[in-house]
Amino acid sequence: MTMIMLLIWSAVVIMLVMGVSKYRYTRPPLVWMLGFFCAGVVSVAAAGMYNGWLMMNTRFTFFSPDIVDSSIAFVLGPGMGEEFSKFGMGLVIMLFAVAVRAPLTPASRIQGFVLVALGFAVVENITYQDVGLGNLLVRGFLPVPMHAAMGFIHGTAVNAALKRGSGIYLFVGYVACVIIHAGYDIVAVNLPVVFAAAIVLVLVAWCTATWLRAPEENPLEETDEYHDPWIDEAPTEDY
Amino acid sequence: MRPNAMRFLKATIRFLASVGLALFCIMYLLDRYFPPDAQTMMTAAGATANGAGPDQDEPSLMEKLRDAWRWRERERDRNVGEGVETYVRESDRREGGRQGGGRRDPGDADGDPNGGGMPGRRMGRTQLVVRETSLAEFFLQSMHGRDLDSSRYSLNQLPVRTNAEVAFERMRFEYRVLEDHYYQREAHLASDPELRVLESLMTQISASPYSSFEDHADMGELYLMMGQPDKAKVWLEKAAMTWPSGSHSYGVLHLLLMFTYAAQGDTARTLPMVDSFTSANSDWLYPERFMGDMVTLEDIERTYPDAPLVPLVRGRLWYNVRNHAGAEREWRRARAMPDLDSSAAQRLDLWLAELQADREGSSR
Repeated sequence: MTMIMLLIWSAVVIMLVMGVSKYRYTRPPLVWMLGFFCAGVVSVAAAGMYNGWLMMNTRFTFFSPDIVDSSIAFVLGPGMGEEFSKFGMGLVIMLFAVAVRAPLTPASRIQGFVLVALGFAVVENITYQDVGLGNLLVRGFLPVPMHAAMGFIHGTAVNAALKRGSGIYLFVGYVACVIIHAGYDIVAVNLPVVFAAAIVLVLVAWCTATWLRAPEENPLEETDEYHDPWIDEAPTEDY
Repeated sequence: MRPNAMRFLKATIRFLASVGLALFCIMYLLDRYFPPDAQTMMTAAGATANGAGPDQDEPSLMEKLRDAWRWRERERDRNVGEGVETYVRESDRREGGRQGGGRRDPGDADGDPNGGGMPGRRMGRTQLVVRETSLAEFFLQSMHGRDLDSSRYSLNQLPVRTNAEVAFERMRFEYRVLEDHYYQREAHLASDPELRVLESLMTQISASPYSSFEDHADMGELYLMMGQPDKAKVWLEKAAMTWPSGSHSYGVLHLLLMFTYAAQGDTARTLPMVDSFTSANSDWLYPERFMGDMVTLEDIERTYPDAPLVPLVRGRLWYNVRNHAGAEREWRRARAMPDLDSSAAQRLDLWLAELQADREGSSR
């Protein structure tokens, strides 16, 4: 039981804080949220296979004594591979959601991608469970919020792409995540833990600001019911 | 659907396709131009300099090597074979006490040649201990004069070695460790990236003036596993010419040469070697004597699937160890291959007829 709590506590806390702080007038679309979480769990498989391939078939291994090789490994593996896996799986769910006109608001889209990241982080924690209880507790403070922040960036990129109808935001979001994730891993492995904690703190601050600004309900221009009464409706007698 | 949503769908598909394609291109380039180096593989093998293995519960490879060396020191004055058995009994008893029962290697030579084919490099415990002892020797020799406790290991008894010799022994040691690590895997392919690392190490080793006939044989074996029988032939013939005497190890060389000629389709050289194999290496009539040393035959078959002489040789090995069913199966497979030349086909017909006659005789 202690082990299970250590594996998931951080993810549960993040979800609770997000839910309590946002949904005042609406309810979160629970089925879609579950779909996002499952996508995150599934995304571990592709990322794990890719990382394993990288370790076995190339000279770029995460704990290589050569710092350049290990840094390249972090860019290629956790950066490009894991982020694409998470973002890709979340986007697959988004494709369905857009196709069936699911009632996803900007806030719930961000929360969906955070759930993808948290699903990924929980399974990643399970693979790390032999590192000891203390280390698992620390993982709840550092890598799990870091993954959640990556989900925030993904969600924000998707919101921007959906609002403006442009795919460039997806690429920008992905590249940003690759840089931040790889940078965090390189710092965490090569420098004292306080530097990694500083990165996580900055990310959490940005995520909090983003989350507080995210609209709980769909803006009018994003709904099919949108019409401009000044244009679409006939003038009343009073007018 | 609103226009923005449609544009989003298209953009998403474009994003997934382009990034996925980019990742595949990166993987191809990495595989092509950045294969794992020896250091990476040493780390993966758990043979790091400080002896820390990947699994904390299992002793690391270095710890096993040191353990094997300590045993060797204890047993120095005793018969080597007896000493091996003593060590095995002791370690089995220790493991039995800890795990509640003895452990058996999956690839142990259990004398049942019908069951799942011949085990190759996947060694039984006795063979593993002998192998590790040999590795410990390499390790200690390569470390001589550095950071070992010389009184404990009696290193002052070793001859003085030059830096070049130490560097050479270190390379050999690395090669042995990586080779063992590689062959512990279940299946091997000519395209395995580990083989490229082994080739790069062995190229340096065999270019050294300290290299010996054993290194040349290793080089030949490596090329045979890599699907390059022409290069393998050069090195194996060089090793055979300089091999000091006919011994059990020479049987391994004989076998490798035989498979090399078979892979090349050289019937004129293969058949005489097949005929003389057991007479030249009489101890190879007993499967438990050679299984641990022999290169994995399934791997050779996988590397040369269209060479008809390979199953012919393999069938003959089965026949030598009285596994007639296995021999017949291999020979019939070889007989059905289109590239089989007439003299080999004639020989196969003869052998199959002998088998048939044996079977009829025994049933009567």
